[in-house]
Amino acid sequence: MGYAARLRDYVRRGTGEAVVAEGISLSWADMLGRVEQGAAGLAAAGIGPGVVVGVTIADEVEHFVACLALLRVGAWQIALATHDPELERQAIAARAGVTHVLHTGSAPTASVLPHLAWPRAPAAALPDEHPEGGVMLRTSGTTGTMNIVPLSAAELCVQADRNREYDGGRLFRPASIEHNNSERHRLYCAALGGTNVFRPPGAFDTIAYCRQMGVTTLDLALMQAVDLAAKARGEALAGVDIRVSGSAVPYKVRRQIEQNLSRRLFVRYGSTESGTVSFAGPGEHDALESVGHVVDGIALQIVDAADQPVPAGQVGHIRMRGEGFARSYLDGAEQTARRFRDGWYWPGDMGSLAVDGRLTIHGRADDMINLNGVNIFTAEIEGALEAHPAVAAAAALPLDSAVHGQIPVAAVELRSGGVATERELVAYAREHLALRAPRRIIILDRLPRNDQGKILRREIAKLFPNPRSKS
Amino acid sequence: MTEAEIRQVISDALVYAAVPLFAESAEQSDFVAGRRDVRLDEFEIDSLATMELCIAIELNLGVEIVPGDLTEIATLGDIVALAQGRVNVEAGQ
Repeated sequence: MGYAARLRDYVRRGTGEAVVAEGISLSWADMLGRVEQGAAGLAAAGIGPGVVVGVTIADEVEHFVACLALLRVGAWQIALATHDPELERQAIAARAGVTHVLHTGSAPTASVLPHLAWPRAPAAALPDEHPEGGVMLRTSGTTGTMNIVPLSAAELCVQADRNREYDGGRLFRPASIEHNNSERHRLYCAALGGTNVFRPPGAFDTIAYCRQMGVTTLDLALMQAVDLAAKARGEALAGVDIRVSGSAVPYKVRRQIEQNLSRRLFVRYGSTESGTVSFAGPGEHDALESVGHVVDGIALQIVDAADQPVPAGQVGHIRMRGEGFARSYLDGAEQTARRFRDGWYWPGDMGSLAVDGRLTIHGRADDMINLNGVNIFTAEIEGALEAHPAVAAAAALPLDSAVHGQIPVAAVELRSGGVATERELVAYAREHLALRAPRRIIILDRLPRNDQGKILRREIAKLFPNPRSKS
Repeated sequence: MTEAEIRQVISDALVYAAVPLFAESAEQSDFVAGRRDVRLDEFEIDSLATMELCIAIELNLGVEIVPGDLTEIATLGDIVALAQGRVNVEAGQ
């Protein structure tokens, strides 16, 4: 069943809401009516299969409906986020081959692309059977290189089916739909008949809003989860599924989320290219810091440098395959050749599978540090430093050395009220990691992060006085 | 980079490498202060400690020292002089 057919099916069932926001409640019929109206208007304006449309709509509900309408008419789309500078939007549009920019309100004056106001005039409806489009999603790179991942409506449906918890649930993500992960998970949620709950305007209290809107799944980036759990007390969202994206979620953070937000914690591992790969649910959080069992429909292996599978417990490169995976990057032949080869998708992560099948992520393969032939995982250093009572977050990275290969160093962010000196932290790391310890640690007020909360190691490397790093 | 700072880097590296005797020795503070030199054969400086010395010098002083550079070295003061010389070359002095 195609994406639009799923939505029509939910209308026929006639239960629940499709979209909820402050002062807005759309039934499935309401929402599909808006989608069909928008799709008809887009088709009348010549938007259809083969056309790539940029979406510059900040209003989340409007953006979501536009997104569904573009899928419906068979166009491809990419978010040109309103929070990005115009020049960046233009660069992304050029890479994606955008021919029109869909917007609400007045068109941005600096743009060189034809602008298309979100159509509201009635137009002839599209037939039910109509080719469906797809979305181009930007991956939030940490190395300075952004990839564009094309996913067809059919691939989105397959990926959606690996998130069955959205079926009948009410999903809230504090991050705007203009961000890749939010757009993808909101499309999953709709494909499964779940209710998408959108943010209120301006600043808001996440916990109070979740309670007010009857949210059943709160989906957070790791940084958001840490912040929220630090402020909350006593299972503030008891019974709500807390879903945290992030390959490395420390055990103590999981404990804090369980104690302060909800015991229904799910730590998810996945990517834009693959969708959800695994998750660790309630009862699966322990010192192993795993991301749980791989979901049905995905084959995942851990292999060595010669691409041979390794025994249980041994760390190696992750490779995986399954239906609904992206097959290439839009304009990145080199990255495509590296990440999609031999029939597998290689996410660039190091991992291990326990005897019971649980997957643990040990950091990025690119982040592995080779000090005089000793392989050191950045996640190992970060885990050790984050176990220090004064440390809130740590980022380890290599500095290139002509003599030693790479020298491990780290930057940390202290907890509020936490006290430690760099020398103390170096000694602490040495005590816990011996040869694998970072040889220098700097303390920063705040680790540099991108807008998805990922730590920017390249920026950190610049802070070291002898920066020979290529990381 | 002053000579005193170079001495501190070398002292820290030996403490970091947990070189027996050096960490607790009275010579440590005298060495850092430049009041005395220390013969390497007074301590058990193994290959790992040598590696740590090289890493510390590279990381903190920005000059490369390979373990082979230290095979003919007799005292910590000689290492200070070696590192100081390379720092000066790097600085164009």
